[in-house]
Amino acid sequence: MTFITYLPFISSVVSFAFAATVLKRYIDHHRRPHLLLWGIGMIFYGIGGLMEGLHGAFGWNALVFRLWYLFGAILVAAWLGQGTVYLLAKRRLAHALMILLGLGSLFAVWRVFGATLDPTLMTGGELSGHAITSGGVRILTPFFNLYGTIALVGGAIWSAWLFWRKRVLLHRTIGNILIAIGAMSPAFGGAFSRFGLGGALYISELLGAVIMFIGFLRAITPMGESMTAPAAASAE
Amino acid sequence: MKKSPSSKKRSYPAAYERAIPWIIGIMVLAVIILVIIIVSVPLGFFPGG
Repeated sequence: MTFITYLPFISSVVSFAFAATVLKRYIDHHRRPHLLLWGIGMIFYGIGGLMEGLHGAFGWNALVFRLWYLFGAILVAAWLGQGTVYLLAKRRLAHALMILLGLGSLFAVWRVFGATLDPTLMTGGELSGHAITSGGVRILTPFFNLYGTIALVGGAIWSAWLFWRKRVLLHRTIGNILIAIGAMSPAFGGAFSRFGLGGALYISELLGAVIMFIGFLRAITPMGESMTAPAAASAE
Repeated sequence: MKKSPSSKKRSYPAAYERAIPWIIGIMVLAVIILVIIIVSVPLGFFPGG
């Protein structure tokens, strides 16, 4: 095992810690839905990383692959993005999109767990959707990822711009910028990986989890306060 | 007439005032590139994942 093989385990731990932080805040702060969905999204992020690590450590396993593809490749971006939709959009629209996402996710579960797999089609040491030989499965990822990218990254950039325009809550501006950067990191890492840059995906996933976590802590902590101290109740 | 605090123009510290617009602009560009990549993969323009 090389150092690169350990990276997914590290990003998995960071993701689960981030999820625990967000879900604790969900419980402590009036159970606002965007926190619940971000927490669920980061659990998916962690599952994806864990499956990558298990593949690197122990080799091919069909269940590991399916869980990686379902949570890491399809669902994570969309569920994180849905959290941002609940934060920024009208509640009725958010509910409607949540129903669509829920139905789409169930469909994805059915398609991924029913797909036929051929691990010999994967090149390199990283997991890849090329192992899926059934039609109509890999085409799901662009829809979920496009929705998630626009909602999560677009929403964070929009929030940062709004706070900057009003010159208020600098910590929220900075936090949203970091969240947007962190959310884009694994997407670009995946693109570089497809072009043969080995290890780019795992490095970018770890960076993404760390930067998003820092961004979240920054966004809930006013300037001048410690991000590691228990945060005071805030509007979020 | 004395200006009330709410009518004073707010600003961030100077470094943030200069950097943030550029950072947001670069990120908007990055999102556009990302969307193009995501849409182009199933069309075969880029290797798929």
